Amino acid sequence: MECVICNKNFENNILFEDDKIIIMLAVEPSVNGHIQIFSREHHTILEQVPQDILNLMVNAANKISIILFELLKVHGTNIIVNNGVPAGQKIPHVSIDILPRRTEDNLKLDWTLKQAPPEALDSIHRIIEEGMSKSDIIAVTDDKKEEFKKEIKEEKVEESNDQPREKKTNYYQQLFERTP
Amino acid sequence: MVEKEISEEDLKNMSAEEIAELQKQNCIFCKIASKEIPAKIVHEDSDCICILDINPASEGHILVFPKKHYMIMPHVPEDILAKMFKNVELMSHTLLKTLQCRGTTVFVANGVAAGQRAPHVLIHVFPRRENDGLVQLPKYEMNDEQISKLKSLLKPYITQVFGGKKSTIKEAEFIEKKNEKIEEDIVNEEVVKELKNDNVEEKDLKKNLKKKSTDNKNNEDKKEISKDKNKEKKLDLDDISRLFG
Repeated sequence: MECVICNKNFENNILFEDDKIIIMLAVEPSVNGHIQIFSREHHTILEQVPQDILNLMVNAANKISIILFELLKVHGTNIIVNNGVPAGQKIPHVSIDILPRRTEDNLKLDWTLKQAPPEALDSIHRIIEEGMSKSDIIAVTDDKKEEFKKEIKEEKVEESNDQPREKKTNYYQQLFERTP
Repeated sequence: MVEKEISEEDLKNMSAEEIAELQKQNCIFCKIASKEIPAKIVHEDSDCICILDINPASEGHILVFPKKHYMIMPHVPEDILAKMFKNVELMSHTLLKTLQCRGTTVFVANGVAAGQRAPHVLIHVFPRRENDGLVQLPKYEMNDEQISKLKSLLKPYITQVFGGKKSTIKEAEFIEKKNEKIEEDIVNEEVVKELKNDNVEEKDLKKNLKKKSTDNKNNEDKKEISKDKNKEKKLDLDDISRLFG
């Protein structure tokens, strides 16, 4: 497994770990006090994480927000999950990022508010509703997640039959290796 | 019902509960949840609702929020938080499948300083594409000294909050011993001299120190933090949420 988190490449940054989650100082911090929470099990994207582990990670993120408010006397916190390479996910292992914020810091994470035209909203709404009714996305239970993983594996096997390559178990993991 | 004009004086005289009630009545998201204001609802369950944002960061920007009014995420109880993130995962999965994007970002802002624009907990889920220029996390260089200082500051506290597992018992013991030592040091050093001048007995000082938090900080910082810690915690969170009042 080539994952830097599973291989404990950053053991010095770890603040707390147990058999389900790892809380550590961010591998590539954006601000002083940037903390990341990883799952112990390897999952590349948010959709693969089982519900109980996601709940643990989210509760931990909330508690850490409170700890940062108290200890570092910050004015606010951001909780961010970067899911996928285009979202800026640098490590192929699901993480929840907690960033402490102050009014005088120069971090600009929000976007300019621009109202979308109603027609555009309508069409997106239709596309999403159709998509949800066609596929069985709504019933995403842990069983479905296993199926989702198997689907990805099957796709991978088909691809690898065409081009002999190292077998990756995860499409998204391969995406990381493709991008320079 | 006649709407009263609320003056600044009235606001000052109101209790925290009354201010919260006022915010709730004027909250756009509570009105959307109760269907008073129309919105493009993508998914809904008993506790949460997912709508399309009218000011999207990217096409398909969805807002997930609880039907009940909470101002910031630390206020939300665990069970509702679990449901919210179940919806978040569902929405992210939906966006990946229906809009052919290869990534999504989940974004929460607690507090005005973090970019919170509405007095209601919101989780933003929006699709991401290469080079869209959104939510770019810059790099912050930290030297080893800063890292170790931060670690020594946070680790004991985090271990205390999350601890209880076998691997952390040794750390907890270590922290207790170290804190006892710090208390002794404090008693032995200048602080005692100063306070003796104010006629405070050593015994009282030790008692006060034991009541205070067991943070692993400098003496000065320890004095600041130790004042009514619980009160401060509430004030900080409420202060942040009150910025919208």
